Amino acid sequence: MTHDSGKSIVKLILFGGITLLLLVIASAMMKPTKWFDEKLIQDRNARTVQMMEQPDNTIDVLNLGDSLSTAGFSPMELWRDQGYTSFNIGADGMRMNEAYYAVVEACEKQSPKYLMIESLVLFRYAMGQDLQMLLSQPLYHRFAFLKYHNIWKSLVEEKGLMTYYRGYTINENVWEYDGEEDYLDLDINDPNSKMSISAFNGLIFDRIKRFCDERGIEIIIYSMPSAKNYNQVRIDAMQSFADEKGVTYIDLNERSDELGIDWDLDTNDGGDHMNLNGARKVVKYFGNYFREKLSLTDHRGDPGYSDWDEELVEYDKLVKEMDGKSYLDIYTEKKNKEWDEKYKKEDTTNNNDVKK
Amino acid sequence: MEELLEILQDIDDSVDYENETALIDDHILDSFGIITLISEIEEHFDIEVDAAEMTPENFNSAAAMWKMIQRLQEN
Amino acid sequence: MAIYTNLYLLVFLPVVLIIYQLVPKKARWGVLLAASYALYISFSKYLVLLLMATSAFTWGIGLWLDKIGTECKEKQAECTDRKQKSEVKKEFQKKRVFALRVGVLVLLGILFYVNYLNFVIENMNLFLGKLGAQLPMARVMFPMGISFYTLEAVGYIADVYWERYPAEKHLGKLALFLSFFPQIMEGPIARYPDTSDALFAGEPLNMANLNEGFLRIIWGLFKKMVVSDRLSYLTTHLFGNYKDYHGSFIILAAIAYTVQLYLEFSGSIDIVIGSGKMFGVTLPENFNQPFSAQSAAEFWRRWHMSLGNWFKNYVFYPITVSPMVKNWNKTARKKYGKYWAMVGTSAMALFPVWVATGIWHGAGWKYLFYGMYYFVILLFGVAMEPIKEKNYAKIGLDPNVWWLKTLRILKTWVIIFTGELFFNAVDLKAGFHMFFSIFGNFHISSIWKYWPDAITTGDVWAICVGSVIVWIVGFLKEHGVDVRGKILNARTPYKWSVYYLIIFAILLFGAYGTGYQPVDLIYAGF
Repeated sequence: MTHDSGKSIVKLILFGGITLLLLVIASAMMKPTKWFDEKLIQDRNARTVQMMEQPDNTIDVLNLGDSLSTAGFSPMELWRDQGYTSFNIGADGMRMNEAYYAVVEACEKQSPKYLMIESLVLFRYAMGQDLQMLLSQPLYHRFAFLKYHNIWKSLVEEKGLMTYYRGYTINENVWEYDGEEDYLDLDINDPNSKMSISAFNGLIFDRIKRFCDERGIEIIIYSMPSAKNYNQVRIDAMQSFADEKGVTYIDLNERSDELGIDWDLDTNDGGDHMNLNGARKVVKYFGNYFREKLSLTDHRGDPGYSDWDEELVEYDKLVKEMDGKSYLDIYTEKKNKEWDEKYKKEDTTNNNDVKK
Repeated sequence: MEELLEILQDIDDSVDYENETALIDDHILDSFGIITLISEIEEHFDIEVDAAEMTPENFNSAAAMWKMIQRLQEN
Repeated sequence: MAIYTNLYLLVFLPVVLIIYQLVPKKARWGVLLAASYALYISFSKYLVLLLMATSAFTWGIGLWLDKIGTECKEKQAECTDRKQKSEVKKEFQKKRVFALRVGVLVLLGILFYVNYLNFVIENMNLFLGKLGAQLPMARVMFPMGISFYTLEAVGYIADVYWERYPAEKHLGKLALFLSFFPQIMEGPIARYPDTSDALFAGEPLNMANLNEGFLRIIWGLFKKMVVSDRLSYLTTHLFGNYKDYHGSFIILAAIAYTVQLYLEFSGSIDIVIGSGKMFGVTLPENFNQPFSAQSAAEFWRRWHMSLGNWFKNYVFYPITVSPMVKNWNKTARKKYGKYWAMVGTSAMALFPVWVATGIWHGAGWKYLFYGMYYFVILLFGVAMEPIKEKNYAKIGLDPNVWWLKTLRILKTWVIIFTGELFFNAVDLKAGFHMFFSIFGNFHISSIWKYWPDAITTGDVWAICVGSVIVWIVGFLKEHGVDVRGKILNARTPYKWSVYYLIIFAILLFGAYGTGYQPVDLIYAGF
């Protein structure tokens, strides 16, 4: 090796080292809850940030999955029904890679008894994207600067509308499912997911399971009632996957009569996601399930958990206020009102029907 | 050579053709100038400029063009 | 694995660089070829076989052309008088033309099959449908980069035919030229002498090249991730829901898409050129401050330059000097005078160029329209040139006075924006719908009212600040200040500070993160 190339290698290593150091410093400084009101964070990190704010070791059940899981499960309702504490740590369109780190991060300060996994996340698959995430997720996990980099937007943007109640956002919209009643016999065409569980997702599931086994967390896989996303093929595939891994699988689609799901009233987007009505029924089912297992503690009346009661009051107030609407409805109303006030004068002078 | 310079002056008289060596590379002569140029030199020097000759090297300077013309006249 | 992904930038490229440096000089081209095929397989799987077959075919045609040439010279050497010689030449010329035709037709045939067959079937079915018959659509897989490497291969065969350089004997060298991994997705389209020697030489890495390449790559990422990807939310929304928008929004859509396309395409070309540079390979430039152009013709000399050059060299000039066009030119000069002969010849050479440029972008009437749009504008420019000059002289105005320049630049912008509006419209009908709706219900205030929610205030900030930075750098370059060169020549602490600044600007303000769907490269789809 010549002197020159030796010098070059030192330079390259030094450059990489400084980059890493700067990232570590920037990440140490990136404390979202310290700098901002947590409500300011409305993106994907909202749930993670809120989770960080929970008192240590107070969450007994984690609910993981994509939007099916977050729309169909309201921790406040479970608290009302049974006094069990739970938290939605899923996210829209979540993939297994991200799911793993959601569990890891949630368990940093919590020691839950159960991890519920909504099964659709296991069907999601896109090789290119998943490989990308294999690389990026650990980076986001280790460097808060990367994970929360969008935080600067909070400074220039107006505060978001959504309120997260232990990871649940209220949606009271009703849009009935008008398809075939026996949806389990239908075919599903979704470019983002498969009809079986890929080996790739299976591997990450094993990783999650190892993590949970070490901490004594019991995994329950379940399928949310969803006419758009489930059929017999998927349910059977999931059943044999769960059997193979030795975990409990609960399919709520076949049990939808038992739950009392009314496809005219319980879905917010035509049979895809549950609305609040549907979520209440799902929570009722799981509440009874946990009670029968006698493995969780009813924390109602425990002074250490009084914040749950306080939040339940707020939650109920908002449920009443929203009165059958979704956040999208509220947002549109707000925008229109703003515009009316701003441009009233202009409109009276100019009677043209302004189109966009 | 004089004749060639005259033709070039006719196309664009703001260029110093005797010293310019990047007529094509610097887009001093554009594609449309070349169209005129080729029909002019073919007529004046009684040659056939075919597709193989259409390279920047052949048209970047008046000297290069002159060389090409002489070469084609020999054939 | 696209070139803007972390998988490419943080894993693939560094690993290839290290392996490249570690193996002996003679084997380095093999590392590059293997890496190129590996990247290709990640996109198009077994279609890598088509790329390999195309390379072998192109190589074979080149050798064939060379062989005919050698035989011709041998035969000529045996001849004694000139007449015999030229007869031998004529005889062999026929063979050469045949070889050229086989080569070009096969290459373009594959391109046609992949890109245009279904378009032709679709339109035939429209007609046949009236007769009650239907042709089945063909199932065609799209081989990544075929539009780019096919042009390179055709250029190579044509150059060998014209004896601009001898045919390549080494199959691997030619295969590497056609498949070099940074270039394969969206060019730039190189000519064989541009890159082949540097690719094959296996020169060791050096700090100067690594620095230059690195700066280029992070600059490209800045353009794409901070500005272009954010704009894509807006343009996807506006072009997708074009019927809901009128007037000012359509103008906004056209401008936003043009800026998005420029920053995305030039940004990813920066990554491509930077990657090449790291291996000591200088790839041709593709952009040269296109928005400083004072005419549509100048714009095309500054925008997607490698494509423009290709069409100029392999379509425009060959047609210009083809016997048919020359004969027409001769007669027309006598009949109608020099001016009309020049305009007519230009039209004859420009028309095929712009039909081809249009449909090169894809099968669809809107692309054909896009080509014809520029054909008409450029031809008009040619026709007006002498008239304009006379008029300037008449009123004694210097055509280079600053405000005239500015006016011309603005006029060119209007031409560009309009072109891109049609280019990105859902289809030609939608393009016209959008274009005419500009003139109805024009209300600047509606922009604020109906601002699509997908674009937040933060996005607007990032887009504006990012664009201004890119614009300043381009403006300085246009006026002779080479910012990149200045940074590279600065002392290490300053240089590194700039690197960190750009890197952290991307990490903080770039569009990325969990749940963020990366935006595909636009030109990789062509």
